[in-house]
Amino acid sequence: MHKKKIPAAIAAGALIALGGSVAGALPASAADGDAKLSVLHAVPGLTVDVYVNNALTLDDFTPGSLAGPLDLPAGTYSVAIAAADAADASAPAIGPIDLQLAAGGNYTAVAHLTPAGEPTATLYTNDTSTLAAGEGRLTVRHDAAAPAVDVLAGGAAVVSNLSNPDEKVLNLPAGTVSASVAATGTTTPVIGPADVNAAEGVNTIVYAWGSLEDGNLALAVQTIDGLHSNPSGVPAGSAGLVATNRPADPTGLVIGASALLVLAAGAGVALRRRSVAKAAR
Amino acid sequence: MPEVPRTDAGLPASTPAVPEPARVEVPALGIDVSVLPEGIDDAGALALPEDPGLASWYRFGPSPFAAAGSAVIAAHVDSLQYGLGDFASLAGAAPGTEVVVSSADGSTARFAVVSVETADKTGVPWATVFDRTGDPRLTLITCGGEFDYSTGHYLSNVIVTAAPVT
Repeated sequence: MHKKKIPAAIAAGALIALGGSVAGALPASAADGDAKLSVLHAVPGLTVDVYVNNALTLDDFTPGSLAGPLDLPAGTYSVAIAAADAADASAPAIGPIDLQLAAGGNYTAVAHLTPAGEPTATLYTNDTSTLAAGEGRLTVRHDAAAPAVDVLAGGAAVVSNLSNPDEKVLNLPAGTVSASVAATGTTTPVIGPADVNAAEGVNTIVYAWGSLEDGNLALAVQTIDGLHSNPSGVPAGSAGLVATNRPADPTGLVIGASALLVLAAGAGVALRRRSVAKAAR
Repeated sequence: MPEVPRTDAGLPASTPAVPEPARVEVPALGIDVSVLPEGIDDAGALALPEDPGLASWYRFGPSPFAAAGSAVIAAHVDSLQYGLGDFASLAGAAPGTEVVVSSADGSTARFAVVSVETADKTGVPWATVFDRTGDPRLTLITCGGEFDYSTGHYLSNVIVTAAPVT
């Protein structure tokens, strides 16, 4: 590491400054109501330093890397992204931009290219609402220097006409999706196909990044787990053979009761058939 | 303030999976059933094979071979078509009773029964039963208690909790 590597204590000081407060220290653990912030570097070919409120927070951050999540008190944070060899944040490559983080929110700030290939940054709010049991969530974000795209799964478009920097959120049965990205209205992949695991109870966020013109389009993935819910029950019996309230069993044998029940069920069917026949007469 | 954690955001290579359960045995109770990975039925409940001779492992939760959380394996106690299932004897499991889970590749995980409870289905703490965190444990479930002959359902679940034996 070079001269800008910062001791943890100074990094802590820098992060205290994030909250706009100079007193006190960040709590050792996340406080209720803190926001969660992740940072994705999706600008090809540029190692950067990330400054938050003018304090160096991510040193030598490389393309395709995901940092965080950081637990931060709600508030507005100024983020500037500078080339890694810059001395400070005075001439940032991106920003400074203001990130407004609400209490309890879950966010990803993405440094990426505009459709025209200029560096920019976008703050996304991640959907952390609870999923139904058996479902996964797939979030698709267009952060590439490329025109609008379709996302194809199994040859069919599941997301249509997605433009940079928009996103689309889908809840779907959990499982692996073979996904590819193509220019809107076409089916020839510019990315993929790639297997994306939309795991149960997880928000799997897939970013298309890079540049079509430069031939370096790629996918990046972020996952947020713990969004599952539980089965509503376990319906595990239908005959009453071991019921504590079953009618007195003269044989004293459960297996006998089973046979009797099956007989009774058969008799019941026969009786019903007879009454139907009778009614039809 | 700890260093901000960083990861490579590229598509993950497939990670070595934790073994899945293929068979559960409780030798002292004569229980020996095959286990199938199952998800959710149309009603949002744990899907179970009709045959009480086959058990269901909740595949979205922990495996019995996982390092944390409650692995749930359930089977019908009975059915009109198949009769009584092996899990019918679970209600009589004594604390300490050995439970052996095997995977398809032959690895085994051993557990000892900690508790057996019969809980009214409306009051089962499902968040605890299906907890994906905490100490590793095995939860065996079937039905029991009173039977509602008008709906064809038991009113209670028999829930056996077992802890790993090292």
